[in-house]
Amino acid sequence: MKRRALQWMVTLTLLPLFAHALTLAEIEQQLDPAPVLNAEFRQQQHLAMLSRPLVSTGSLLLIKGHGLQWQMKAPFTSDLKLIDGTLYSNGQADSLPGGDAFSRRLMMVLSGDFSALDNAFEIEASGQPEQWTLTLEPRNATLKKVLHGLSVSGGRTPEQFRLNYPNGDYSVTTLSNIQLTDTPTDDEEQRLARP
Amino acid sequence: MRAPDRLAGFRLNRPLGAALWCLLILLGITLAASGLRSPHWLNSNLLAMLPQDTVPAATRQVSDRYRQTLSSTTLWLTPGDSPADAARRTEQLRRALGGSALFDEIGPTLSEQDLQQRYRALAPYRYQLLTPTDRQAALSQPDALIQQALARLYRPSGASSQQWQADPLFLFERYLASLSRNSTALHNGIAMLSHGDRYWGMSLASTRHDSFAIDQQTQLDAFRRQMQQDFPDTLFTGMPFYAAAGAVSAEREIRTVGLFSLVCIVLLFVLVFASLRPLLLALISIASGVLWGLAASLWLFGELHLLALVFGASLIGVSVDYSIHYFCHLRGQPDAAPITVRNRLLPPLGLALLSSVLGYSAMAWAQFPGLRQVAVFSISGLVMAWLTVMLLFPALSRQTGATLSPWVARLHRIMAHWQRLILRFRWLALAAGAAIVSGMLWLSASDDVHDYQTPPAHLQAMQTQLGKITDNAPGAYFVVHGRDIQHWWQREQQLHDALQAAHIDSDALSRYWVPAQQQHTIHTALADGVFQHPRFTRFSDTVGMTDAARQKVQADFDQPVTPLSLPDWLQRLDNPALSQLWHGCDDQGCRSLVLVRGKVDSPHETPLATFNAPDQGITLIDDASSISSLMGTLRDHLHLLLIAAYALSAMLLTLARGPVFALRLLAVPALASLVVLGSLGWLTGHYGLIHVLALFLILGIGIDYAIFYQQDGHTPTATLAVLFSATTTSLSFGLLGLSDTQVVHDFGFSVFIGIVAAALLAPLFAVTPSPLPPASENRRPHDRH
Repeated sequence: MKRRALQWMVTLTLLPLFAHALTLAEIEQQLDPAPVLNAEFRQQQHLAMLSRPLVSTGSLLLIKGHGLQWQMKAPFTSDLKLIDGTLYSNGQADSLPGGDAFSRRLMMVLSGDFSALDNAFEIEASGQPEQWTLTLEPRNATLKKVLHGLSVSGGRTPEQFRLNYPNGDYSVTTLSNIQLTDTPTDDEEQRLARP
Repeated sequence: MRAPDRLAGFRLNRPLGAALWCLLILLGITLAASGLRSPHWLNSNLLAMLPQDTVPAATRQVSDRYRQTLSSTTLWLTPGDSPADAARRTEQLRRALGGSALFDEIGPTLSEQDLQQRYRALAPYRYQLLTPTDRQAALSQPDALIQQALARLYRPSGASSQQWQADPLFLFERYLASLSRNSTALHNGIAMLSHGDRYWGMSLASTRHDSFAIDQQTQLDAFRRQMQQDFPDTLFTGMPFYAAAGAVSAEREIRTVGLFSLVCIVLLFVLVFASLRPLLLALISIASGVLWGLAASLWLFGELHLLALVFGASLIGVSVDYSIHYFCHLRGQPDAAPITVRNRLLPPLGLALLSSVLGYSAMAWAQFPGLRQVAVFSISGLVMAWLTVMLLFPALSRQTGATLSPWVARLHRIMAHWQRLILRFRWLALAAGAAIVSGMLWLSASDDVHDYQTPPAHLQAMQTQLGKITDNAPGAYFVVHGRDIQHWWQREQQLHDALQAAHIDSDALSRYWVPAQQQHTIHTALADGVFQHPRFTRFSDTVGMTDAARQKVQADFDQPVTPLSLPDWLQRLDNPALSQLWHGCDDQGCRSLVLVRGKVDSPHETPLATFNAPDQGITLIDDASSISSLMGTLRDHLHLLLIAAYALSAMLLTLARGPVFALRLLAVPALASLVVLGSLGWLTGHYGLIHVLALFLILGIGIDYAIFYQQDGHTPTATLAVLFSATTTSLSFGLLGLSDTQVVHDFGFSVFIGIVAAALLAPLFAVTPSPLPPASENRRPHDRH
């Protein structure tokens, strides 16, 4: 037992000598700082009680620090918006428990604002600055019962994230056709204006 | 002559008077001491002072119980930049609350275990108890339930099969969410609200003791200041803080008014009489008056309201009048013995006392507990101060032969000029009259109970901010009654629907719970519309549910239905906010509360009174507005009472001295009252109950002044006595005008104007216009240099 612990300690101490561990700061530093992000998304949910994954596709618009629009186009249309901390589902203020908490975290992930997630999750980084992966584990036992953990990977922007549920269910969301701009167009501002 | 004989006989018994006085004082001390022994002798609860509303006894019981809860509950919101930060600071706050020994029941803490417990306790009933919207959908639009389930499933957060299997349509998720409408998120068991870009941890705490006990008020107010320093961003509200702030400010006012009046009296006595004895005797008279005011109120009511004490402090200024008159006349008649002066003063001072008592007793007639206390306190205080002058002063004062200072004659001449000025320039009087009448035209009557409690700005600002973050702030509410649970539920349900149709948010148990019969109906509707309908097969095919999962869902749904009773439901729910709404069933029926919610910036468009239907078991309890309208009714009654008081005085005075005398006396307070109304019209434009009460007092005091001018004619003694007493009285009421409490301010201000007017008007109605001293007779006022 003792020897094993000692081995671990030696390994951990020597580790930096062999591999340069990627830090959150390094990843955040090389992310594209442009505040407006447009992308297509494809989400696949793998649930134990389903014989095939649930697939949804659509587009998303993010204005960092302001709001997020999650516009599903298939299999049917729906429109979810988080504007300045308030969640709206198809134009109506939404009151589902944890709904806005989840959306806020989703917005942090998409914005690459990982430091903000640090107090809720234990974060581990791996890969290269140009192609990195983050593994997040909830610090809070309450959250951990619902969400086992999540991982995010990407390059100049986050490109894919995966949510792991306790009983083996998981969902994978992939972004494509990512476009970054410096200022939102009138239309984009309109889409994320308070109703 | 019989009267002088009787008075001569009385003179022999001069020591008897002093002995009688001592006896009265002893009795007063005994009564007051036994009253003061109760720890709750001083009450600062504003509701205790206001009239009771007229609702059935059973309903009042329900609302009283709720009021009691409200009167001890405080609400705290502690901000943080993240939920963890807010939770940490909320825990700090709760430790501080617990450490203060002022609060208990500090919470609420809803742990993960509590939530799981609630989930497990209610899960067996998830196909019977739905949100109102889902209930409606189950009955008429089952397709909508399927659509919602799909929308929920495809949210970016997704679902886990663990949860979904047990709740395939997400009905239970929505139901549980609707039960904790304010605490959408929990962090470390602390309810979190998010507003703007901050998180707010919510805490509730009850004050430990009766929050209206005065010593606790001071502690609570000190604690509040400490908390504002230690937790500068934390917002808090609650009746205890308002009560404490009111009590502390009232206490300060009593001290200021009392102390300042005394200082004025001391200064004026020294200035006018240049001797210690009159001052000491006057102070004894004041002290005896206050003692008996306290003793009689405590004996009759068992307690004294703080506001009554504020009005009572102004008693000092009125009760000193008798001493002033006595000593002015002692100096004015250097050759008369004290007992002779007393005997001469007996009729006019008796009449003066009677008129003041008459004015105050009208207050006692009003169905207004607080005013009744003011009346009893003032009447007994005045009577005792008067008795002190009549019984004790002749025994303890000496005729020193000193006369009034020369400046009294000068003062008198100025007043005489004033009289002549008015007589000469009638147009001046006419112009003043026109100004008064036009001012009165501006007046409109209004009574708002909020004037009776003017909370400090910092509390109000926090309350406003709090109201933006949470709609937890309590306002009006309904008491709903039905002969049995089904009947009650139908009525409450109807009320809730009607309120919702008018866009009024409310908390009602019938939103979340339905009677046994309806629970069966909902289950059947779900079976027919969803689970035993091809719809469900289509839904499970669309999403690709495995056969095993589908069978599990079906089997869960097919469990036999056991209705959940309301008390059992509340117990399983374990939510104090909802439990407090239920007031149980007895042989008279079932009762509950429906709380009306509203954020501060969105007042209701439809008046709540529209929904009040006592014959249908729905009673609106809106303390603020029902008391306001009650006070309006009282004001109208008091108008009539005021006229009755004038008529009564007129009758009394006519019997005593004839109609001309009565008219001359009553003209002074009547005109002074018109001056008050006119000034109010010009200055504020509205008048209410409290102004009418001020007019009663002006009647009492105005007659005093008139009596002295009638008694002595327009002599220097009368001028001095009236101006002296007007100065002390108007100073003490003028001080009330500085009060933070709107109603005390209004009262003080009105009486102040009325007294000044009465003092200026009284010489105009004097029975014999005094001949002016020859030196100034031929000179006009503006010739004097």
